[in-house]
Amino acid sequence: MDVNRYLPLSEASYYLLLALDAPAHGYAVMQQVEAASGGQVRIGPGTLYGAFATLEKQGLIEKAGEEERRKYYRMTALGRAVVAAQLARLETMVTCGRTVMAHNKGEAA
Amino acid sequence: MSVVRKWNLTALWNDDRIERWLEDMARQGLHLEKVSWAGLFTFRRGAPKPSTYRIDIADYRKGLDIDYLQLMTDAGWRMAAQWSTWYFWRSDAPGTPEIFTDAPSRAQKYRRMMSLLLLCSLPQLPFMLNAAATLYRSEELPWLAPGLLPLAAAAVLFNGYGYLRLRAKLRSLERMQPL
Repeated sequence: MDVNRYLPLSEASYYLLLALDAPAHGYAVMQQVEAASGGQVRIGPGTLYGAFATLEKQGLIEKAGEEERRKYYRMTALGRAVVAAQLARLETMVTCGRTVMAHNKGEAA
Repeated sequence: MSVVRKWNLTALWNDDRIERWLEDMARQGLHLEKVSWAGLFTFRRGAPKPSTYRIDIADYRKGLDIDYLQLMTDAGWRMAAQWSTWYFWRSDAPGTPEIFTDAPSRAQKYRRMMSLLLLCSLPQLPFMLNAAATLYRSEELPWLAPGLLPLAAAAVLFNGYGYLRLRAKLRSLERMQPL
């Protein structure tokens, strides 16, 4: 299982996958992504429609049923592995950024 | 309730110009009800409203997808009119999210437009040339041919121009994508 070919995830895909930790329909995903990102990331319905198709084709999400004409999706094991790999990358990015920026602040003072 | 019909011959690749025009109409109390082919728009007269309009196009091989319709409706968009695979969406709620929130998905919309344009324009070419050639050879109507050829050329040039405009839009959207 090579997760690296799916990386880096866009900010939107990252939040989208996290929102599908439990089965959810499209509109719930839109709301969850906006809330989880503190309003910084919004996914429009057309963008989400395309993202669902792409992520399902890649095997990162799968259909989890249908209720009141709304399709439910959830993250697959592969999706979870990709998110974990992305998270590790983000942690490295944060550590590196903090180190450099703290060092620069010292120089400026 | 009175009905008003208006012509707007703006090419469909200038979708943003049509969107601004429809919003302008809504502010004057004219609300889109129907789009007929060749740019005939039907409006219903009502109270002026600050509506938002967005035009989207489906993949011509798929047509209207029920999941797409559900997502759009849940997000606050109402389909004001449909013409072929073109959808004219309206929203009166201020917080409604844009249909496309990133450059790649917006680019996909213009790619769908491009393939439709190619699909419509390429088959025209041999038919028009064939018609012109037949007219030239005919005894009674050879005078029609000189008129038909420029017409065919104009159609091809118009579609070619649309293709170039769409390609320029795609390029500028691709420049917006992160490295």
